Amino acid sequence: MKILLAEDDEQLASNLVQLLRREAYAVDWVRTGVDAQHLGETGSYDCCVLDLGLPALEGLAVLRAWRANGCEFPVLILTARDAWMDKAEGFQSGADDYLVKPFLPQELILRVRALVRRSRGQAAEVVRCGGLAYYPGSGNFQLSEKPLYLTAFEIRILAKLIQFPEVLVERETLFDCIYEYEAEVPNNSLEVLIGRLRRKIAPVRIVTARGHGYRLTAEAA
Amino acid sequence: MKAPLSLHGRLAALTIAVVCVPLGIATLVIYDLVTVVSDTMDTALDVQVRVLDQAIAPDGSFAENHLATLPELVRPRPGWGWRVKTPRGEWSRAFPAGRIHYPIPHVHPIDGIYSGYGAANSSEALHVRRLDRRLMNGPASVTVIAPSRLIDQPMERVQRSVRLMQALVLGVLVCAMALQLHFALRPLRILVKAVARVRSGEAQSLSLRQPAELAPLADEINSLIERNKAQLETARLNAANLAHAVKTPLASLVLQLEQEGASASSRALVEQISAQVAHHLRRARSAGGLGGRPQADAHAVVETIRPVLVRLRRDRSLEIDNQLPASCLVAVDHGDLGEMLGNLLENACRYAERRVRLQAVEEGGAVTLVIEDDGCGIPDDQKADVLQPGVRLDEVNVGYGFGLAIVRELVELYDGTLILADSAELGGLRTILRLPRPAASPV
Repeated sequence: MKILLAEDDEQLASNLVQLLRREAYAVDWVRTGVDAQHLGETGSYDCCVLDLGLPALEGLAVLRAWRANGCEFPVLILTARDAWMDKAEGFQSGADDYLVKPFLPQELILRVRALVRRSRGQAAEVVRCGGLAYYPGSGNFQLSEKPLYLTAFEIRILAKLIQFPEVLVERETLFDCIYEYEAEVPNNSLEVLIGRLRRKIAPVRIVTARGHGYRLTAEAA
Repeated sequence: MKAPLSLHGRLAALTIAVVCVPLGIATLVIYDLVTVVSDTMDTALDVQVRVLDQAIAPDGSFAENHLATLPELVRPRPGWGWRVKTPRGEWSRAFPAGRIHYPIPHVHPIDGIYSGYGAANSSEALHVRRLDRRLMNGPASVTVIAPSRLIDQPMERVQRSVRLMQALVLGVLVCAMALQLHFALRPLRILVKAVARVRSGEAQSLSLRQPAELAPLADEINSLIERNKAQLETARLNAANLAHAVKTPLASLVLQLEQEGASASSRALVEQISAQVAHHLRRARSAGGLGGRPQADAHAVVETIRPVLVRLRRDRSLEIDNQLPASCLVAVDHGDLGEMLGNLLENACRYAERRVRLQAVEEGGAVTLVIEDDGCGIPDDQKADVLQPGVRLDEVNVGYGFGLAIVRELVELYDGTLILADSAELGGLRTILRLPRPAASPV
């Protein structure tokens, strides 16, 4: 799962990146509105945390441009502007949530999770595939009712696959949503991660469709 | 310190001073006239005194036949009379008994003849001329009298007409002064009203179409208004900048403390700072007292913030029943009304079970907005507490502050009132927000 973070304050941004990574999100961080607009339109994100006072292009302008160009990912506005009219304008411009600085870290995480969950139409508290259960509210996985301990990358892959159980997820899509922009990724790293995941989630299987992508399935081989 | 004399007072004093000069001159002229008339009378009397004096022989005898040269002495006119006293005897004609005194030093002395005043026993006032002589055998005196009314009556006539003239002149001048004051000070009174209109927000600035003397004043006042407005705008902008400048590092600090596993008390402290900063910056940002002519439509504001409220309560379906009239105008800045209604409705939505209702009553110069919910309400003993900054009734709900304190402060800036009560109909909290109505637009 990947998040676009648009925030010009370096200190806050680095804290936010740490916070989100700890929650197993891949984070692309941009400082300016122009960069944010570009990445939002070209990348694949599960959610965007958008500051309003961005240099080069105002946050609200970026948001309107995204919505005008058909970018549908959920956007959480994170800003110092706490006036109700500012909030109303944010929602009118296409935001899905609005959080005022300073905020509690848990609140940001809860809201981001809720946004991601809603954007996928996951109304249920839990998503299952065979014995594997995913709780989008908390971001936890269980296998056969026991907690499953996974690394951040593994969580990103599995959260993406379990959104579409029994359906093929293209390799590019999976790649896009787990690796951060400009991250140095070895060629076979995705395969390595998938291999490790397979061992952890058995008997649930990840089937490779060679040259296309992967499929999470509960069917026995 | 004593207040300076009013303009009315100054102009009145000046006019009185100017009027007093001709009135004083008129009084002096009357006095001179009296002297002239009395001198004329003295001349007539002195002729009689001389004739009588010539009739006195050096031994003190009096030759009455000598009087024939002046028939008036033989048969004096009514009220006139004379008396001659010598060591040899006393002669008189029509000289009444009475009292006469002669002021010292002698009044109007001419060749030894001087004036005296007195009254006959018949109470007739007398004008007297007298000559004292020393004869070989003792003193002699000649006294001639005439009725004072011969001087007084014409003088009274003159004085009456002069006083009448003076009164007329004074009356005309007072009227003229009053009119002058009224017309001259009228632009000033209009200017005072115009300044009051600017203050109440009915006008943006003063008209520069003023009399030449007042145009610079109006210009100066306009500059002051502009500067005041600019300073307030700057202060507002600074508050917004400060908000951004402070809140972002605060957000970093909260995250940092969290990551470093700081103690709950440190985090509570930062939360407290955050709440205070938010509260005071909101207040500083308010347009209350910014001047101008604020006006906002409560119905429209509610509809603008409705999507925000709906999103806040995505977990439960909630009816926000906006029963405000289609155009519900209040004399409050748009942003400030947003803050008031936003915070009050957020509260109502947070505690409501299924329904929040807004109603309005317009009465006199105020609009009363009533917000009710079907939640659990606030216990009576806590209603006063929740209006204090930083107090939060429901610690479970995430968010800084309860929001009612800032509403109360904003409402006070606009001379409005905020009352918390119980909703008899819906069962929850009934918030009564009373705000001023915009003044009728000038035609």
